[in-house]
Amino acid sequence: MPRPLRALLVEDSEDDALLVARELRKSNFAPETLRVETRLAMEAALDQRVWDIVIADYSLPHFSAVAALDLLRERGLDLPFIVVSGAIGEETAVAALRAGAHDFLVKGNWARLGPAIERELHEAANRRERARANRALLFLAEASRDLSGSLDVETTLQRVTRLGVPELADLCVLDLDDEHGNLRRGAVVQAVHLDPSLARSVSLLSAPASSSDHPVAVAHRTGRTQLLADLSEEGWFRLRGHDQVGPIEALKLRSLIAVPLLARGRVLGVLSFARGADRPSYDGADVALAEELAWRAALAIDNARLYAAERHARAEAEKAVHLRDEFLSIAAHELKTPITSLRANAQLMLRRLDRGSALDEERVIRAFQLIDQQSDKLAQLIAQLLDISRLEAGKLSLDRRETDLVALVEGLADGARARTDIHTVAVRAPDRLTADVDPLRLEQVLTNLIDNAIKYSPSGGEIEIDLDLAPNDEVRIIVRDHGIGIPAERRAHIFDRFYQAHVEPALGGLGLGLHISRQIVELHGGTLSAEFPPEGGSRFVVNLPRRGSAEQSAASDEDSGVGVQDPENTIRAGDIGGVL
Amino acid sequence: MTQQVLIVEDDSTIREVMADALAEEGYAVAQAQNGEEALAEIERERPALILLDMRLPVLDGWGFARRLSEMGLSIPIVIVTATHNTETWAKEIGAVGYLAKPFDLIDLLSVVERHCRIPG
Repeated sequence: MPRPLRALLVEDSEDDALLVARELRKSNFAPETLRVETRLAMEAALDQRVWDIVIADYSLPHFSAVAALDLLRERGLDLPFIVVSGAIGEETAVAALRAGAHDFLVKGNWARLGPAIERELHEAANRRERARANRALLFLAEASRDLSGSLDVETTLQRVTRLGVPELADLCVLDLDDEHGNLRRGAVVQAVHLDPSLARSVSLLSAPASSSDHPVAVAHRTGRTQLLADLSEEGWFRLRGHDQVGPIEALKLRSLIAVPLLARGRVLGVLSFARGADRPSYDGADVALAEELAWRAALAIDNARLYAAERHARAEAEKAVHLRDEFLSIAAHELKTPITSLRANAQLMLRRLDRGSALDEERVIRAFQLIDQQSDKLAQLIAQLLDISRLEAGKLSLDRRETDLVALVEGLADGARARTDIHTVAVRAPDRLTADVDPLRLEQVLTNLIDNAIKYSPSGGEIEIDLDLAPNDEVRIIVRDHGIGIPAERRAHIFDRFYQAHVEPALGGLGLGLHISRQIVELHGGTLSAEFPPEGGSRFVVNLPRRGSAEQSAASDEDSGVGVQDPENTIRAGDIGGVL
Repeated sequence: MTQQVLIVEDDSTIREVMADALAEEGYAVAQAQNGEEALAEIERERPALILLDMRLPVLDGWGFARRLSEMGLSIPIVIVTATHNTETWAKEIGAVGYLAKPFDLIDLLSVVERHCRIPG
């Protein structure tokens, strides 16, 4: 079967042109020829289409083979070029070869024409392959350099996508795996000649569903490159029904490659390349280049992500260490205060005995009272430290039993009245209300709230405790004071671990009370929230389910009331546990 | 005349035992719960020595020392505080000495004795 051959003839004689065409047919080509005899005509012919070969007369009235070679060089075209001339001297032949002709022959010696064209077509194909391989190498070297330039994830993603255009594609799309294994559109880059609004619409589209037969989804699922060399009728049929079709049709894209991004055995996403109808369809060499590029891209993305994760982890660790140091310093200070008082008192008593001075009864009583109070304070601090340690390790368990809440609250109110002369403590409660709770832990929570109410109303006043049953069978306990309240800017943090609403050390403590209280309430399946009425003071609200479920997990961080979040409290068991 | 020692301490149990111990040694003792109260005490009578806790409500040890120097008063200060960097804090405010809590009573008495001449 004759081979098609697009031959551009630089020739002033129509007869000679016909002769060449006949000889080509004889050599088993199916020639498609065009005769030009001026530079202008040749320029037009080059603009019009792609040629396989140029066959030129050496000298024409208004043009020449050497001028034609110059024009090809200007255009950067590497086409086989054969000079055919009537009378050819040695000098002429040398001049033609020097100017870049690949072969020359004398008109009439037609037997040489066929083999010469065969050879030159083969040589030209080899040269093209070599040039393409060289371009690919340069391109990949450039890509590696560009990708190694940044460790920022966003910058890397943009660079990855930009690299494919225009060398490999008119449109390059990056879809990345999210944490659920679905693809999310990461970046879209297009060649400058495309309508920007179309590429924008591609970037707004969601990535193909991971279960679909879209080539991007298949590449993602199988980890293998998908090539749609020609989006023929059949190809379009395959893509129909996907969102992507509209823009691809509108962009008149012809050919598509979807390459999985693989790093450390995982698919990170898919990098897709698409090429317009005015460029050759993708072939095996393009796939190889796309895979090389994707391999480098995946490595760069993986590196950038590892770096970001590492930096985040380091910052978190530093924050945790800082928080722990601060806590240790506060804890040490709080523990040292009662110890200072105990030791100084003991040593003073010993000194008095040493001096033989009489110990009057009043002094002895006062000393023992002090020892009692201060050792109790120490015991409470240590209990708090143990509680926080258990909570951090998830080892605080409840001992639930049917509890008379009215009696419990009344008892706590009596205790509070005994501790203060300047506050009144009022309880409003039904005659009887029982719930399935850990009485000691609930007592700890309410004692904390009542103590805070006393502490934060230093000039005295009324403290109200309300106990009732809400319609949803939840027990509600409210502790209300009319004291100094909590400064607005500090309210969001009062339930944070180690947080003290007041920086003044006189009102100090470990800053653990409310944090522990909330955790205990949440272990019961309830909520603890704070409200700050406009008329002043604070209102702490405990909501507890009356019946505990068998498996009550630590409650969520959902906040009622002031919407207190707990952003600082991200370090977990072990961070603190080791030192307590 | 009796040398007066001013104790600035927010924890009442610590403040009172310090006051008792010093009084029994023959010092006149004044007490304050915070920096502001201490400045008021100094207005009333100038002490020979100030025993100063650093973490105080209202006006802390650093603020108190600054106010004192702004007033042009130079009264020796010994800081008495519970921290691991007592020495640094003492330098920061130009204190003549420091005691780390929990302290030994004997050390308290000797540091006071060093900075106050006991009357006859």
